[in-house]
Amino acid sequence: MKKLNDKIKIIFLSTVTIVTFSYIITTFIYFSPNDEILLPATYEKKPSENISPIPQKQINNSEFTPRLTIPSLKISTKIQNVGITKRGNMSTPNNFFDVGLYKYGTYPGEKGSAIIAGHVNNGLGFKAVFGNLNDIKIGDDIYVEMIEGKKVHFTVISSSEYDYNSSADTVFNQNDGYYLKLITCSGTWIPEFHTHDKRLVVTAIKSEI
Amino acid sequence: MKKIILFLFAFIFVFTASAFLATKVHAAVTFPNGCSSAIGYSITSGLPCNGTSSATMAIIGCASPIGYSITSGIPCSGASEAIPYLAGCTSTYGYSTMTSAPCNGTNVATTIYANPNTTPGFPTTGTGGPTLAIALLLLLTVGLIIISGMAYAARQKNAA
Repeated sequence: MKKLNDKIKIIFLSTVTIVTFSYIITTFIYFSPNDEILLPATYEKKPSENISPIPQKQINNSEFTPRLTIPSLKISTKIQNVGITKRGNMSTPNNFFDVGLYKYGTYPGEKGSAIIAGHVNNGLGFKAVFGNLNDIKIGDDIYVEMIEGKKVHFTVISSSEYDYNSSADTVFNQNDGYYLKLITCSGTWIPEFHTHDKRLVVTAIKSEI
Repeated sequence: MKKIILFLFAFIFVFTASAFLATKVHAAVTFPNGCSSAIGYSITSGLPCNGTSSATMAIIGCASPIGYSITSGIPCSGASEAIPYLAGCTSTYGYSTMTSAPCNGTNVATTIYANPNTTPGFPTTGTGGPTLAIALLLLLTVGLIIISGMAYAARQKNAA
């Protein structure tokens, strides 16, 4: 009887440990609060005809997930659509592994600036999808596949830092070319504002594959 | 020592059990249309699933029935899919034209000050500070529980 009790205690202990670990991993390593607000669907921009020869319905049926690939940083990840937060900032993907495309702005391959954001670290402080973005070099290749089998190629042309609370006008509204801009946090953590003090913006321009 | 360990077990059990109960998707029994439980709001009508005028909310990480939990990512509606808007609402702003309740699912309506037609601010793409400290504290707690449990089991074995 005593042995049985001990076994029950050990099973109970193991279960509690596994469950607690799962909770920690889920909360701090996988899901990332993005504080996004839901706006009427009419606000949402759809890819234009010139980059979307396949009707939207077919894209949905294929269950294809758009991808971002940066060979030099060994990044190949899913692209989520993200909107804005209630504070009016661009939102972020809901986990630390995917990146987020600003869905109210330009789509990759269209004229203007397509904006993609990704986390620099996770809840435990380990590197997230854009943890090494500051290692990217001018001339590096970036590929965005919004439609299955149709990759858009970009080449990095610059990398710059902005204050976290500065105007993002020049980043979001540069319309004199076909740009892709990757954003992540950089600088130091500001505890009172719960954010880093800088944003790293990597600019790439569309080029032929 | 034994009491302390048992107390720790009980505390962790209650904590994890409540977290799991909150995330569990209940099987459909006899709930209103668009409801898979009595928690939250109908995904078709946007009305409370418990049949009263105010919905029961018990999902961690949700401040309202709209959207997804910020901690677990599950729908805040309590059903298998998230509801975008409540009945009589076309967004999370303002008040419902059907029930006059705030469209954000809380007691206070949200004022529009985020506009997708204007340039947004930079995203917040990093974590740190308290989040890291809380995570480490939890990991440390689990580690202590494991060590205490192993020590307890070993002592029991030796005593036997």
